[in-house]
Amino acid sequence: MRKLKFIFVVLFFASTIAKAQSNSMFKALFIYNFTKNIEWPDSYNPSNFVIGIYGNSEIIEELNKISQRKKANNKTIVVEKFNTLQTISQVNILYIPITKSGQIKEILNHVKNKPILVITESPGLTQKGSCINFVLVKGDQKFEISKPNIYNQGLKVSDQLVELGISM
Amino acid sequence: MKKNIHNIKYITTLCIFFLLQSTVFAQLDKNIADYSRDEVLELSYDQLLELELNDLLKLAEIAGVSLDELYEIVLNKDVEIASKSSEQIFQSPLSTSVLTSEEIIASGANSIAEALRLIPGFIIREKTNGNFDVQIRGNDNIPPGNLMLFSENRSTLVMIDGRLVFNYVFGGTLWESIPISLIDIERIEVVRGPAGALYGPNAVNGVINIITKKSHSQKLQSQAIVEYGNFNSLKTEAAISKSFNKKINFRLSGNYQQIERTQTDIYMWPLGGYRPVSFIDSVNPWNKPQPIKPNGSSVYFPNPELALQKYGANLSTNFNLNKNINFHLSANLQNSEVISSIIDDSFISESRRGVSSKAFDLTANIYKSTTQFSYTDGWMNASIGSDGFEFDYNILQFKTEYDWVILDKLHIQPGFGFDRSVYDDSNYLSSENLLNGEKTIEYLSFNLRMDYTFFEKLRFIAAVRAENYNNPSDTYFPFQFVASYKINDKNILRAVQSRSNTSPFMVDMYTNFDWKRVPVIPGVTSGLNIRFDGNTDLKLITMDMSEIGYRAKPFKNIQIDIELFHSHTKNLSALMADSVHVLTAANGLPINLATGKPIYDPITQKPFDYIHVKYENLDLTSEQYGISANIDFMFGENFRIKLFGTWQKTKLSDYYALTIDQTIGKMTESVYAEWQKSWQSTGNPFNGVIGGGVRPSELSNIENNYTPSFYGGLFLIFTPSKKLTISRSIYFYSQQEYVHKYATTTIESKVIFNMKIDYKIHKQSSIYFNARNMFNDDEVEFGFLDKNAGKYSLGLTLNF
Repeated sequence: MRKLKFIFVVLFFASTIAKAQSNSMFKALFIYNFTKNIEWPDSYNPSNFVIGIYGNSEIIEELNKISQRKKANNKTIVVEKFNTLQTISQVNILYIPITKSGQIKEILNHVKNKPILVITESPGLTQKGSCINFVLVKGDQKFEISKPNIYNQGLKVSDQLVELGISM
Repeated sequence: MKKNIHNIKYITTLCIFFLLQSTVFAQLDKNIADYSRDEVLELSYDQLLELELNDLLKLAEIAGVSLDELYEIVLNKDVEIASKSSEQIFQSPLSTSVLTSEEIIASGANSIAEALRLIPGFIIREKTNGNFDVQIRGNDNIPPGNLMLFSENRSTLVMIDGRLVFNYVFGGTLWESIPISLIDIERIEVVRGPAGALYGPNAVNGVINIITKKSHSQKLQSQAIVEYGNFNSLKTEAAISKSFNKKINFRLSGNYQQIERTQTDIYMWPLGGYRPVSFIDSVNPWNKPQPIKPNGSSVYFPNPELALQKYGANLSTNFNLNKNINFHLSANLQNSEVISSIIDDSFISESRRGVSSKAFDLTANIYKSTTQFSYTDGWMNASIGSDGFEFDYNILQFKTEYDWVILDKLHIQPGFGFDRSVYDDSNYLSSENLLNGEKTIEYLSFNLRMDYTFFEKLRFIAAVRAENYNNPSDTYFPFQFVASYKINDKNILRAVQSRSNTSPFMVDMYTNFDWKRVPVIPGVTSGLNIRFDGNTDLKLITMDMSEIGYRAKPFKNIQIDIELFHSHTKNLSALMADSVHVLTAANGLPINLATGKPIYDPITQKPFDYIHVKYENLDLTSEQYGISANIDFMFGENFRIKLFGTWQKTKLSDYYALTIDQTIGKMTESVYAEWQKSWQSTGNPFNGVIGGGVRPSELSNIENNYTPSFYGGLFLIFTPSKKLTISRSIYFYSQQEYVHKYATTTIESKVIFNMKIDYKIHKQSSIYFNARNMFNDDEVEFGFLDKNAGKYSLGLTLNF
């Protein structure tokens, strides 16, 4: 009986972990696909393709797995975690985990006029200036995309990507 | 040559091998739609990286959302009310709660007031079916033994999208007059404790901001809900919304609700019991007696069965010019009639109240400034059938604020506001009137809030506001100082020191009421028996609060919130006897010369000519301390439970224990003693009016037993399948003692069980069964009002 309980608990947590990973994994895969559909200005030319993450997130591990396998815009993908807003500088993408979504105003102010694709994961953030925002629609993972916000950041986006997302 | 051919063969074989390998990686062995969740999770990164985004989206749908993210979304919601900018509730510097649309709908709550039972810190009593008294942390029925008005919540500010919905004539919110219904609500945000520095007067015990839904879809969306149950209860709500060109969206909604009372009798204090309304008409000693109607109905209560009947219509539109400039415009209208607690000094406990209003609200967000202008124009009759409580009113609100961000860490938010409320009974003048004309409460305010975070751990907030009223003449300075320390991502501590005040209320400031309890007899009685006066010098009720809060996330699926609070409230006011005037005749007795009999007051049984009562500040202060705890827990994606409770004590110091009537009795005795003394010394009884009277001055310290010492609830949502949602909620409070000026009653402790079972018939519609107070506990929740009862209904929801 005890064994059965143990198995039940292990199975429950195993499924939980698998689910947690799957979600971060898909978000990381989406981000990789975004890089193919976004155009950064030629003048903005960091030596590597930098994906910055502000604070802790499980997505870091998943993006690291992609960076070992793929390049973005013919550049090596570098995944960099930032603990403070001030240290965020030359990145191509800035990912704002849900735990930092409350600081969206300050973050957008910090990256204002810089060609940085801001990606968030909290409801309502495209209305506040985020370029792409992961949302759940009836339990399904989708993304909102704001063409004006992307242009405001000095970037270009393919129509194909806009069509795939929930256009805001 | 041979060697070269061999090499070419070798290279070709290798290329084919790698090509095949990569094809194997890239290709999936079947159609994406046919994959199970487990199969999706088994796919390798190399396979997934070769897929198009379109296919990835489909696979992500099959894999579903992560539990961690779900926990974060459900337990740690975004909230704006505490800092006027978005932040996660875990980091909120004040005692804050959020109730989402999904939670409200799942709970089965039938009104906004009832939904607030799902939030910690609320004491909510159902007065009559569908009509609620809503208190945050109590401080109610102060002073005990006065009008029923003082047992209502007058010091919590309620807003819809920042627009005030406040009743400035008596204080508080008339919940039935809120034009929107549950279908319109995106979320309800609440702050417990004083927040006047942020939101202005009346945010004393707390603030409630109801945030409405906006359309983000370019598809025309519509929703309708119909619910019918016992007590002939009917609730219908419908809404349509659409977004055009991503720049303009609109939402149109309407609602109708009705429910009958659990009884048709009404409590009569002089008789110490409930009596039929027809009886009230015939024996009413203070209003005009009416002939008994044969069918048992009443002039004052032509439909005594009706507890609540209301409708509302709402139109809102957003215009988003760009991400820096957007406008929100809303227009609402509503009409309501209820039988609920009486607000005036009458011999019965309930009155029929009608409110009808139209409101307009424009909010402009331009870069970092927010400007809001709203105007409400309405009519209300607080006691239909009685004279003197019918008004036209309008409320104008203007505020503008700027959020200046320096170095990403310092927010400086200056603001300015002007508010004006006008109540006018000129169009409804009768022999007795509360205001006798147009009265205005207006004030200017300036506010400044600074919010600074050091090293993302230590946060300091200072907010001050200056409010200058037309009456009283003093300037008030509500403030708020907060320090919070984020120990780590899972623990946060905070401390708050704050002060808030109420606004003036019409009844306190401008009452100008002659209660003609004895007919006018020229040369004998003035016909003026009780004179009620407001007091424009009244100091405004002010609360100081100290609070320590702690939030923890011990596990990803549990969030704990603990609040320890202490408050001190002063400048409390009430209606008090000021003087007693006695007409004396030659025979030494107060006498009505027309009848030759002494004039007796039916309540005090003392002879008198007239009494003067007025609103006064009291020496009384209230001290309250307590602790609230809230535990929010999710077990997997299908089971959520929220448990909350508050334990608290309220002590009253310098409490004047005599009721107005007891005071009048004592003062009458002192006037008589004075007159007898004068007779004895002069040898002649004074023939005329003498007056004054000495008010007893004994003060005492007591516990306010009306605020329950323990209250809280439990909320559980269980979704066993995609089609079925079961919610259970429990709300409880401990025993209380309600002291009215004419009688005292015990409100027994109560546990109320509710349940809703919702079954999705298909994607666009669901049916549900809703049980409120499911075990039919009939204990009265609000002193001297209606018995409670179980309410059972069936409903249908349609989404297109």
